[in-house]
Amino acid sequence: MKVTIDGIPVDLPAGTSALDAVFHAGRDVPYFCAHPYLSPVGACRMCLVEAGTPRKGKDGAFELDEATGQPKIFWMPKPMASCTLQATEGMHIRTAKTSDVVAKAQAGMMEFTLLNHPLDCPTCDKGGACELQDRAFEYGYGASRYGFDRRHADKHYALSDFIILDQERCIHCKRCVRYFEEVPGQEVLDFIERGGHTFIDTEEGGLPVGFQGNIADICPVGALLDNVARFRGRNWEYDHTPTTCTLCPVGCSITVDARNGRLERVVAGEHRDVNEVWICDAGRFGHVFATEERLTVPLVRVGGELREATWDQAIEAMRQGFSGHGSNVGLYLSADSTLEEGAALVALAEAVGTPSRDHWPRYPHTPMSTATLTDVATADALVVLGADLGEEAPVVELRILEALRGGLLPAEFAHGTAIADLRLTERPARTPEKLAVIGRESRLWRHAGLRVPAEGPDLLARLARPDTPDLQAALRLLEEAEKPVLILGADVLNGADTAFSAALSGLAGRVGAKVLVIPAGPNSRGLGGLNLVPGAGGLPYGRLGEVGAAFLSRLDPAAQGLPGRARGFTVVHDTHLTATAQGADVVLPAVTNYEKRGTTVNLEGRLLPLAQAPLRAGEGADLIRALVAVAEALGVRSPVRGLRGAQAWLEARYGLRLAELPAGGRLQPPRPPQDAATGLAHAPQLWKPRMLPRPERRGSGVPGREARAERWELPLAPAPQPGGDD
Amino acid sequence: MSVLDIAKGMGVTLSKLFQKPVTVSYPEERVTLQPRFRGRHVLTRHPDTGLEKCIGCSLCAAACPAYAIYVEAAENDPLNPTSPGERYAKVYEINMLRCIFCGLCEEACPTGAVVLGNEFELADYRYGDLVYGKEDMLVGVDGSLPQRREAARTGRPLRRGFRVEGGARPELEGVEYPS
Amino acid sequence: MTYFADKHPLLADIFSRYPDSPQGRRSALMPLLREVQNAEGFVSEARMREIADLCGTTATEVRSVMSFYSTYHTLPTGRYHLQVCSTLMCALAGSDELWDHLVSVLDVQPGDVSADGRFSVQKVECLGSCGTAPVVQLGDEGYYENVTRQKCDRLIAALRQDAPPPPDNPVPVTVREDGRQMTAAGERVGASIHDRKPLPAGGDR
Repeated sequence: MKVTIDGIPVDLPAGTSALDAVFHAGRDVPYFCAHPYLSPVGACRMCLVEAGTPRKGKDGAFELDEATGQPKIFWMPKPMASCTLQATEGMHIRTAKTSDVVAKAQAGMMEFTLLNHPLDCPTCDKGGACELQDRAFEYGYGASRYGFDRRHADKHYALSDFIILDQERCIHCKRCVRYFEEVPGQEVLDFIERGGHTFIDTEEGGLPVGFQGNIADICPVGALLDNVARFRGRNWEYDHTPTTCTLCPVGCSITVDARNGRLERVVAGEHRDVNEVWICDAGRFGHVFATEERLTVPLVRVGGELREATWDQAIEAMRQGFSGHGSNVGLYLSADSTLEEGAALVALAEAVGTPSRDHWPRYPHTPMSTATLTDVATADALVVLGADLGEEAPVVELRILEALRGGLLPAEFAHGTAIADLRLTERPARTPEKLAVIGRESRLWRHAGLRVPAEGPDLLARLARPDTPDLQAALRLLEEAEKPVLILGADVLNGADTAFSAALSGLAGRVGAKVLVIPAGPNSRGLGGLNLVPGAGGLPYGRLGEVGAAFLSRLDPAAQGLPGRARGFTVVHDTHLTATAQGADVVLPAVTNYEKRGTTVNLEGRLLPLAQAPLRAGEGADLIRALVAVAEALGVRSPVRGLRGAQAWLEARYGLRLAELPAGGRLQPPRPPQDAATGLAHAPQLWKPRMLPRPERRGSGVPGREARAERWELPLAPAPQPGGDD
Repeated sequence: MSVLDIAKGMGVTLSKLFQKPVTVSYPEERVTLQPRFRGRHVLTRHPDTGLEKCIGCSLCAAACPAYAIYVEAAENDPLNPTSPGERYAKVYEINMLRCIFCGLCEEACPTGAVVLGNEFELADYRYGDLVYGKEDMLVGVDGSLPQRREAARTGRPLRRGFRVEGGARPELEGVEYPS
Repeated sequence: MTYFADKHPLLADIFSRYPDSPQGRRSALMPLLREVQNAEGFVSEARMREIADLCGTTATEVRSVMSFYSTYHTLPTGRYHLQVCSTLMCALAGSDELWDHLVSVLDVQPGDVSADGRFSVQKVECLGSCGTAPVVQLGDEGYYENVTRQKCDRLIAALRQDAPPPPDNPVPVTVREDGRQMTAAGERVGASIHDRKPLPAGGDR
């Protein structure tokens, strides 16, 4: 399909919107209401263009312009909204660059949009990253002729603990309303009233926690704002670090915004194959632990009490503590650690000769995933077995809902994802009958056509040989579909073994289904393949209390109700003074995953890179460097002493090339994880206590000011003094 | 060079001997500044309500070519606001060592909160003491940090070594300089 | 006690007018709202939730639809509910001054009912009578057009006597109890479900 934009001919697939045609040709059009993953509705009327098409005469041939001999273009009488206009064969489009009519219409429309928009950009958190600000600058008149009172409404209307609404700033683009209707399928926001007094509100007593934070990202103005990051900094002051979220195994693309060494905000990044542009509320708002109450120096137990120490003192204390335990040392790390950190731990364990090494959480046996998240989004039948996705992998839930509304993945153009995909419609028809949920009740139930309350590890066997009509229906759903996907969660995986895997691949092969297994920890799929499980005679994490001496990295067994100590000497490497750390002999400060470089593996088996945000961590060290200190204390020399070394070790042993990983990661099925009993059941929990935002606990963060104020009394508001000595 | 030229030069010297001297023997005498002289910043308040004009928008920091300004904003307590509106500057610091007194912050300020005053006697001993906070710059705080420290130490009133013809310019709302 | 708990035949009748699908159920929203408002004078939040459950939607959606139309009320109204158009044409013709006058004369604020239970007032969006601005609508009765201050005073005086003057422009089509639509002149207009005839076999498009 040939389309001409401002005289530039482009070749486009049929069905492209005029808006995407313009951007594809390298031209620009302002828009507020269109969004790549939402339906185009033409609400804001900013994307006006002049459009014209050739017309066929009675003989079926194009009517020709007598002067040029080319097909004559019949221009539409008024500018058209390009987001809802489909580009057609031979269409000519003029943007503001070549058409004064369009430029005037857009400037006039901008004046209308700004009529009631308050001029409080200096206090608005969107300022500097505001679509309205940018477009008003590019396409507006620069002045308003409106002489009446602006609309006044509630400027401080909290829709929930996380989202705050400024009704005056709203320009009625309806993105947030469409987002809730189309993406998480919750009709909790809508326009109230009509005309100029329209505002956004909910009658449900607040927004549901889950995916509400995304509306702060998509709001083109500062009407819907992140309340956790409220007034923490201006957009140009943040250090933006694109990285990967490691709170759950999905591995969403995020951007970490830090200022002055503190993590102030997390916004979603775009990854078409993983999270599109949506992230869950835990990933967005649950970042305060990275800033609050961080452990910044090593602590050493002296006389029964933990005291601040230097790393050298901590190494000396570890040398004394580990002596006498020989190789009876357990090394345990959290399953959200990077592959490089896992490599460092394995290398050290081999150097020491201890078989007691483990990561947690993990399942005794994790079957391999064969489905990608795109397979989930385009599936025609989905069976979710024993998973509470809200706790295990929230964004998988959104991809399932995407499948239920047709599985339409937006096209890709020269400018990126299609901005106005005309196949997406408002209030999409959903097909709940494509989804069967078997397990405990969860948020996904509301969207499922078939709900089977059940629990226990034998669910897979029961699905393979259904004993109830409901399970028979679920199996029939899989059998009759062309691209079915089976999703497995904690409830079935806790009791998994090799026989389970065989049964799973048997069932999947029989019905032709792909399988998505949700691993227990954010990177347990990657770490499991590194032989990071107890070897012969080794003790798993669940039997920590039987190990002679132990090193725990970012694990808190005491909070889980386990014995928080090894039999003897215990070293804890953590970001906070956890319950376990409080009982340890040496505590080493760690860094969070926002401050690491490295690689993680998500539930599809996709290698995703982590980048380092500039956060204040004191003397905190990642696991690789902490293990160098431990190795020194143990009197061994580990072959892995840095990130590069870890990557070289991984390449030499497993052929994993991590050094030149592209920004979007690489889908590379990982090695199958080794099996080992855990002795523990994993209960997934997304929100950890330290993730809950408590903004009032944040100090000023500027050291020295208080100290200086104490030196001598400052007259804060004194009476005017007589000047000078005359 | 002839004798005549020398005599000419001496003549100029002699004629100046009887003119009023231009030199001011600062600091014993006050130097006279023009109102537009750019010195230490003042954070002004709204005269009627006493609320701070600064809303913590950081535009001064963005405009600053020397990266001398650091602002941290917070939300006003609605019952006991610091500034009108929702937002105020919890931390407002200017590093006077970095500041080049160009006045771009004043131009960037949307509320007229930060205004360059005329005070220039800022010399101090430690780097840290030259980072001025809100408590050093809010209107009503007279003199620089070392001057106030000296006044507090000796118990004598603070002395400023300048006068401004016609008083402080109108943008310096509430500031009084000796004229 | 929910409103529709004992009205199953009515519910069945209303839902029978729409397709038996999720979208169809949502379409029953308007008659259900009308039913509650006719009976109770306004639609409370509890009723919104009840209707939302019946239609398979959320109270937010119900409130959104309700607030779009100025003829649904979320609060009890007085016997005479005066709605003043405040959109562009009426505003240019002086509806702001009219509103101020009305509020001060009646001593009632939007959302309240005057002490004698007679009056309530509301600013509404365009009533579609721009040529005769400013316009005041009295309840569901009709429009008073070109309302000057004097005309407003006369209207209020008449309403105080419980003798509302005939509207300048009565509502053109009213819906009777049986669902039949009638013009002010008493002529039948539109279709009614009572006129339904089976479609001819084979169907012709």
